[in-house]
Parts: sequence; structure tokens; C-alpha cells
Amino acid sequence: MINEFLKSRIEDAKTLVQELNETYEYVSILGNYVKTKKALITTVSSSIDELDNECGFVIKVYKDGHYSEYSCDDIRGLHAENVIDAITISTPFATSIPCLKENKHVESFAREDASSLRDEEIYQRLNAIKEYAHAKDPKVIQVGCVFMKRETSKIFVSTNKCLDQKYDWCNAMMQVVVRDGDNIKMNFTGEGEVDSQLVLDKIDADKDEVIDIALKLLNARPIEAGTYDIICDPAVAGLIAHEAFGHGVEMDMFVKERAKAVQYVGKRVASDVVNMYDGAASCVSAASYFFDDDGVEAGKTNIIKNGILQTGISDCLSAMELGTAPTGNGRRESYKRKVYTRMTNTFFDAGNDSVEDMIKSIKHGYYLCQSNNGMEDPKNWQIQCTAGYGIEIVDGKLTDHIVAPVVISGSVVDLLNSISMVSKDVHIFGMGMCGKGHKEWVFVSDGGPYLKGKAKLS
Amino acid sequence: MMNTEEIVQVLKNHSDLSDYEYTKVTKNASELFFVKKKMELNRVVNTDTVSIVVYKDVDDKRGSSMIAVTSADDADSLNSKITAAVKKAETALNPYYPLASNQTSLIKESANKESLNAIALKAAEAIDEANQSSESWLNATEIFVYVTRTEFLNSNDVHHVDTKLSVEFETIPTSSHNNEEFESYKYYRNNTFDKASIEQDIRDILHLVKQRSIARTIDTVNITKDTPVYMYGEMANLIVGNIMENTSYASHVTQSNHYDIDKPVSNTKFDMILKGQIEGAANARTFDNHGVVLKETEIIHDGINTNLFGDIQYGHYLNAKEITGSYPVAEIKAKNTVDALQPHLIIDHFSAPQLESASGYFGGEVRLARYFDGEKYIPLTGFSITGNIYEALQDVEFSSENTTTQKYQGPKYFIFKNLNIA
Repeated sequence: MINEFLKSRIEDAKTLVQELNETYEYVSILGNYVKTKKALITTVSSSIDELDNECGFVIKVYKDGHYSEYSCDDIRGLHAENVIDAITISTPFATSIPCLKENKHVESFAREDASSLRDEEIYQRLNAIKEYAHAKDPKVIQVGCVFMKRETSKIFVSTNKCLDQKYDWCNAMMQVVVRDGDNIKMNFTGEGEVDSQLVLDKIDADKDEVIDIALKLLNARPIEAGTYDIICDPAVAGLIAHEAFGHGVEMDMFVKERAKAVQYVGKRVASDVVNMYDGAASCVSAASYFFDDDGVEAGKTNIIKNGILQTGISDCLSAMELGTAPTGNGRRESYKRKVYTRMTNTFFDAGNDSVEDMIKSIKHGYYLCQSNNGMEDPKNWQIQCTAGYGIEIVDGKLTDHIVAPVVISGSVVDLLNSISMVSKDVHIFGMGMCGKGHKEWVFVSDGGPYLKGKAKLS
Repeated sequence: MMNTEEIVQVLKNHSDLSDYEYTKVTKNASELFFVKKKMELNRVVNTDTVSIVVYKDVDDKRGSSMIAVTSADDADSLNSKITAAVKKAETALNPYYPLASNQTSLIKESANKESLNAIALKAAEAIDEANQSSESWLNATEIFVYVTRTEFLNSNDVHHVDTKLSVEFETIPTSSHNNEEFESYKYYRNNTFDKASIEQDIRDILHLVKQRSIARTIDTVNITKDTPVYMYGEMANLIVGNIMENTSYASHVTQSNHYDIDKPVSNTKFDMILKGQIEGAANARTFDNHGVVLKETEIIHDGINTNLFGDIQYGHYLNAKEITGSYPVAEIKAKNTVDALQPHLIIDHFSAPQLESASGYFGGEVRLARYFDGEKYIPLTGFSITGNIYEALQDVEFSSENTTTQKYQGPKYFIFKNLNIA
């Protein structure tokens, strides 16, 4: 069930929409209530916080060729004239944006965590992982374990719509810092699930690998820059999907003529074996809501089909300006920020190959693991993705030689066209955050199968 | 929403808690969004964000838990939240540390009398006036003007108010060459409306994006490992932040520090002084998150790490004599500087500059650089530059040209050699 406070404001929202409709051609109100429980256990400190990260509303109106918005903490007692006074400006600049049109839609949605763990249980489980890591090797100098449960409630009220939704998402993360003299290295992992018990089970199962890799990274060297055959693990594959043709097909960029992709719809942008999706309804993960911040139902968009670019993803306004259907990708960082076209769960689809065959097929290259960060370039299709580490492959076999970190850069199209093998299993990582440019952070997931390709590494 | 007095009264009535900290951030903003020269949206934000940290002492240990107060709360619901927070604090205990006390109260209310909508429109007009290049243009521009009032108080009677005006914009300059368009990115932030600096920054970025459109690949110029590499802007901020991180109490408590007291950070002589206030540095503030008033602290003198700094918890764990507080900005004083007369490479725009503190890896893919061959600048693109910051800082040089960024005041360029360029 949605948060009681939001529920109590639905009638207020309907009244305010009606009042504002006397002045504006379009009016909508989005109400957000986001509650986060965060337990943090590190080697030197610990805390359990329960924060209502968001509790507020954004009122969106349209008149005279442009939109205005008013973000506030409550709408009870707020009258149309208060909003009008605040947002009315006399602009010397041109305004000619079209007005949103909406169909009738009234519905409630919910997806909730089935487990309800007590604070003590969460603390003990995280603390046990921390103690285990320190006991395992004296080179482990710092361990950080985090559990986060985010409960999101939203209402969307406009002339034609009255929607509400509640969805939960849990994350658990583990970070290990190891030190050998002046040599300090760090490794981490994270898991995401609707169920809090399950996410803690998963992070517990990951702990040995996280520690072992951190210790191996003490012997890592920088990679010799060059172009290599690569195998990307699902995390790195997800990062590539996100940076390459996630940001590249956000259709508010089409409206601004900032995306090269607009010229390539229906054309080849990747090899035949590449298929890619985005959508809040494409899987259950970190960005799986029921309706977006424009009040549009969640979708599943097939972005690349057999190497051919099919379509982009869009918020409501961008879709209207482009004459396409909105895909349910209109998202705000919070009620205090504007809506943009944003990715949700973005991933490459499965293929028919095995990881073993991929490794065997490489004479000299690198097996790249762990997504770190990336940056898009929708205009010029350059890409930068950083993998946490790479393992050298020589004569079809993995070696003990580790390089870290590894930066993949170059042309998006060259990289995607070089993909020659795709594994059968898809893993989605529901623990990411994504910015638009350098701000507007929203929760996203990404992932995919293992991919074999060729890339410039440094 | 409950006001400060009402919330504090509820806190004072709770005998089950040991201490508390209260922070209220009031944000009033006016925002304008443009696609090319057409205004798409204007926004007004009037919000309060209230957070409380509840402390509970058990024997010689101390636990803490943070809660938020929202417009959904009244005295009853806040009471329940505090009771639950005390229980959480009892569950996650840490070695004891005191809260700030005996701090001189700093109260700074807004001096701004102009409406934020009016300032936002003036910023838009300044940007528009400078956006007159025949070779480049601004594709999308977002303007944010806001006043942030931060009120802090704790159970030791520490009380501060800081109020700041911030004028920000983000814009995407674009240029074309041979029928292909190229774009760049500019983020501007200042704590005053400064028409001249807005116009200058717009003119500079419009020039740089034109350079990107005609940039060559790096193999067309004669760059060697000895070619000095000039880094500035976002990467310089990351480097300053990394030095600060390694001289913090927290890094020493967690043993993740690369620097130690009385040991060299660099063979190059320079001083670094941490401050709360630097004119024009947008991150400046008068007190830290625990209410500690920020005075000056020199952490590096002649390249040697002379002091540590940081927040009250980790300072107490290290038995620091006078806990400095966590600083937002630094001043760098270079003892020797270099004028850019010899061939060098200026990195104008990384795709996403990276600096990984644990390993020291730094660099990234370069979207625009300019190589000075001794006579002229040649724009370059499509290569990467990487290195280890702890090694690179050993022989760092500084430019004579100075700057003030969000993070520091001092030499505009950090100059490195022996980086990997590929």
C-alpha cells in the first residue's frame, strides 16, 4: 500500500488540479514519498539510519507555449494563486513547446519486500561478514558493508489520471580495502533484490570472492595500452549497454539534436548477435516502477535488434515533440528536479555461446570484470567505460596476470560491431546510479551476458 | 512542516537520548531550461529538508542514528521516530566521541534582496549576449539560481546559520566541421551573479568547442613522455580533493592514507592551507556538518604534510589536540611557477576524469587537448592519458596563472611529466 501521507493528499491534489485548470491548459501533480533504511558497518564505525529521503510534490502546468513547475513539501493549504504567483515570469525568450495530451487512466500498483528483517538481524549479518573478512587475511585493513532498503510511494494526479504505486528495492554492498606496505587496493561488490533476506544471502555468498580478488589486485599492474580481443563479464557488458546505446537513445537528446542515433534508426549500429533492451517493465530490478514521473505506464523497449537500431526511449514531452509514443522513461531525481528521458533497466540480451569457447578463441587478450564507471558521448559516439580489473588471456587460457583498472575507449559503433560471441545467461545488476551529464542521479540497473569483442584498452 | 522550535522541544523532552544534532536546509530556487534559444520550462523550488542525528551512550560506547522530519510529521510521529532511532543507535555502537561545544555562534542570513526569478533571467540574458559566435552555439542551457539557508544546532548549545546564493548553469556548446557536429560541456557555479565571468566563460567554451571540431589525432604531433601535461578544472579539483583525503583523520583511522605527518607529499615545494571561506569558491562554508567553526589549517608546508584535519569523530579517535572540522576548500601557494613558453599539452576536457584514491590511478579519455608546439596551439582529440597521482605529484610543477574553482584557489595548472599517453 502507498504511504498514508500521500494517500491523504490525493483529494487535495484533485482540488488543486481543478483550480489550476482555470488558468492553465495542462496541470498535473506528482507526489513522492521515499523512505530508506540504511545500515552501515565498517571496520571503524557503524550506524543504522531510517530516512524519509523524499516527501513532497511537484506541480506542472502549461500555458503560452512553455511549462512551469512548482516544487514544494506539501500541497494541503496551497491554493492556485500561491502557485501562479510563484511561477509566473515575464520572459523575453521565445516559447513554443506543445501541450501534453493524456488518456484516461486510474490504477493502483504495488510490489513489496516479503521479508521484514529486524535492525538487529541486519546488523548481525553485516557485522559477521566484516568479521569474516578481517579474520581471513591480515592484509584486509578496511571492510565496509551496507544494507539499504528503499520504499518508494508515488501518486500522479491530473485531469485524466489518478495513479498510485508502491515499490520496494533492497541493496547490499561489500567493500574491502587491502594493504601491503604502501600498496593499497580496493574491491567491492553489490547485489539488489526486492527481498531483503535474499539480498543479504547473496552478499554473504559473494564475500570470499570479493576478498580474494582484492588480494590479487595487490599484484595488479597497469595495462599496456593497445587494441585487444576482450571478453566482458555481464557487469562490464551492462556498463557498455548503458553508456553506448542507453544514453545515446534518450530521445530528449533527439529533440535537442544532440544525438547521432536519430540518423541511424533502422540502420546497423552493431553486429548481428547484438540485441539490447531498456524498460522499467523489462525485468524486476532497481528501476522497475509501474508508471513514470509523467504518469506513463512502464514499458519494455527493444533498442537494438540483431544489430539494427530500432528506436529510442522517451519521456512524455519528447515523444510528443517527435511524434512517437512515450516509452515510460520520464524520470526525476526527486520532486525537487525536472523530468528528463532516463534509462531504467538496460541490458544486452542472451546469445548462444559459452564463456569457455570465448576464452579458447583468444590468442592474446583480456577478460574484463567489474563495472566501475563510464561516460557517454551521444553526439560523437565516443565511449569511456572503466572495468575494475582485467585478467590476461594467452593462447586460449586465463593467466594469473591481472591488470587494473582498465579503461575501454574509442568508437561506440566499432566496439558494438566487433562483438562476435554472446553467452547464454543474462545477469542484471540492480545497484547502479546514473547521472544526466553530471547531475540528476537516478537508480538504474544494467547487465547482459558475457560478450566477446575487440576494444582499445588503456 | 514543524518549525525548529517545535522540533527542538520534542528532542529536549526525550530523556532516552544522550545528545542530538539538528540540521535544516531551506532551499528557494528559480530555474530556467532552454533548448537552443527557446525557453522550454521554468521551475520554482521552495523546500525544507530537516535531518536529526540522535546519539545514545551505552557504557563507554556511543551509537547514532539519523532520521528526517518531513511535512508528514507532527509531534506524535516525531516522538515515535526518535524512540525508534534511539533503539537503532543502541544496536550499532562505536567508540565514544563528543559533539561540538563552545563554538562561537555564526549567524549569516541572506543579504540578497532581488527575486531569484529576476536573477535567473539576468543570467539567461548574459548567456544569450555572449552566445554570438558565428562558428559555435549553445545547444541546451539550464540555469539554477538558489538561496540555501542551513541552520545547525546541537544539544551542546551550538547554533549556526549560513545562507548562500548560488548561480549555476550547465550548457552544451556545439560546433560543426565538415558537416559533422561536435559538442562539449560547461558547468558554471558562482556564489554571486557575475555577468562578466558568465560572459567570459561562455566565450571561452564556444572557442574550445570549435577547437574540438577541428581537432586532430595525437599521432599528428610530436609528443613524448617528457612533454609537460597541464591539467586544470575538474581534474585539478580531483587532485586537490585526493591530497585532502590522504591528510584527513578518517584516512588515518582507516589506515588508507598515503601521506603521513612530517613526510613529503611532493619533492616540489608548495603549501596547502585549508579554509572555510575563499571568495568565489562555491563550496565555501563557515561550519562543518557537526557545527565545528572552520578556521585555517595548513596541512602541507614546502611539500611536507604538517597537519591532519577532519571531523570530530575521527579527530577524537586520533586524540587530535584541536579538532579542525571538515574543510570544503583549500588554498595552494606554489613556491616556484612555470610560464607556458615551451612545448606542452593542455588537457581541456576529459570524457570523465578519474582519480582512484586507493591505487592512485588517474586520467581518462581525452575529448579535447591543445598541444603548444612552441609557436601555436594544435587541438587534439581521441587519446587517453593515465598515470599514478602519488608518483606524478613528486615532481609536479605549477603555473604562474592562478584560478579560483569550487574546490581551491591557487595555480590554474598542475603540470606533470612522464604520464602514459596512448
